[in-house]
Amino acid sequence: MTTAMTETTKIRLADFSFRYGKNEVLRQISGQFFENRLTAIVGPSGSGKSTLLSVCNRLWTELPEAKVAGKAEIQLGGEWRDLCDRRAPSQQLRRKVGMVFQTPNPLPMSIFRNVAFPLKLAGIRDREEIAQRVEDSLHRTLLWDEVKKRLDSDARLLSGGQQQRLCIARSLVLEPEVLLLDEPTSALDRTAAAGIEELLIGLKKDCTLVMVSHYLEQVERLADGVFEMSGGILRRLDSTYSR
Amino acid sequence: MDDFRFDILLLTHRDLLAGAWISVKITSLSFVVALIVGGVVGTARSRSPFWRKALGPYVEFMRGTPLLIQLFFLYYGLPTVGINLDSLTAAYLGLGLNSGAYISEIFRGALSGVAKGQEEAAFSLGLTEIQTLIHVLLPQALRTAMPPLVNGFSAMLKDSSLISVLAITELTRIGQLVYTRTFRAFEIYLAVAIIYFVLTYSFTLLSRRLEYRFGTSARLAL
Repeated sequence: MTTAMTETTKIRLADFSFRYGKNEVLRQISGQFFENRLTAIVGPSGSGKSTLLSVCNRLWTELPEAKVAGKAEIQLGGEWRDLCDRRAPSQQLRRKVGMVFQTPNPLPMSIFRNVAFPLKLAGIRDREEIAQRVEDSLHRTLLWDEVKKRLDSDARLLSGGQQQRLCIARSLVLEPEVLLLDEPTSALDRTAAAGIEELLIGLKKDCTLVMVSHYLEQVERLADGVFEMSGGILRRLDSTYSR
Repeated sequence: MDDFRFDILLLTHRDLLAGAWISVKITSLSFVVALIVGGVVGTARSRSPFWRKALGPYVEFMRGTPLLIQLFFLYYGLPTVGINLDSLTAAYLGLGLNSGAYISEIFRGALSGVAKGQEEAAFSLGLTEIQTLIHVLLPQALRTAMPPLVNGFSAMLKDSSLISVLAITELTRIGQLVYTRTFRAFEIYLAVAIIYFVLTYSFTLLSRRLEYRFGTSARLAL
């Protein structure tokens, strides 16, 4: 417990509830996710794990029927931001809080454009800078050597594992402070999953990771802290952050 | 068959082809109107329950009433309330608004068919709703929509024969005029039908080609 006290809190929730229509998905949950750590959230399907991730980058605000109560905040650039404010602009926040989904979702464009696209939208125009950052990002996800000769190919032609690494590269190119991962290896074979796991371990030094996973072995290998979500209730499973 | 006067076609083919050209021109401009109306209506209806309900009556009314009546209303009916449209404007509006209703459904269906993950991915990258539509959803929806859109153009080309009632000298009207000069209904209307068929069949072939091409792309996206 003493270890946990010295950690820097990145995301904090206090009596936070999430309702979608008449369905209360998250019920007065409280908890903290720490900086430069990988926190795993486990639990049965439909228990609210993915919903919790969608709160962390305000993706929930795109759902007209969603309502929240309580407190949910994230610290970005040393400043606390309210995750419950539906009217607050979310674009800047989402660029700092990347998200990787269960199913790889490359956009219908070339490999290069998939990674360069967020940079262009963020207002970066310098072609050399864009090319360099795309290359760096693809290096970090161990994809560069596999795709460097076909950067103009349709990204949807890549294998499942490559597509998922491309999606991570696309998130990383904006240098996010937090990366949310919703079962990032569930659609992949063992080799591809191992590649992603290796990548996540390396990412911890640069950003805070929150990962939903069904694989307890994977959680044991990667996570510094574990929460269980069940019936919309969040419960801390470990007593200390061990790594 | 001894009575078939091929020479009539040689004498009148220039007039008929000129009429065909006018039909294609009017259809093309009306189709632009239809694309704008259908694109905006279909996109709005696919994005928001409010617009789905608010614009529903337009779509249902246009699809539920004959185009001929809509054309009569625009050209002969509206002057009663002080709106005078010339025959060409009435034709563009009539064909465009009518086809726009069908095209809006094509867009709505195509947008609904884009994988939900694409929208989530775009939002999670910090794209606004408009950016998500322009850069992510519409390019994919257009692939699905392209073959039925080309079919829509073919259908409009045939429907354009109805604007002959507004005294516009397009292919059907020219056919009627040539008939009144020659009294050779069989040859003239057969020639008019063949010209329509050649034009629409060309677009049907184009549609099939696009269907194959974009179908391959759509399969790739799965």
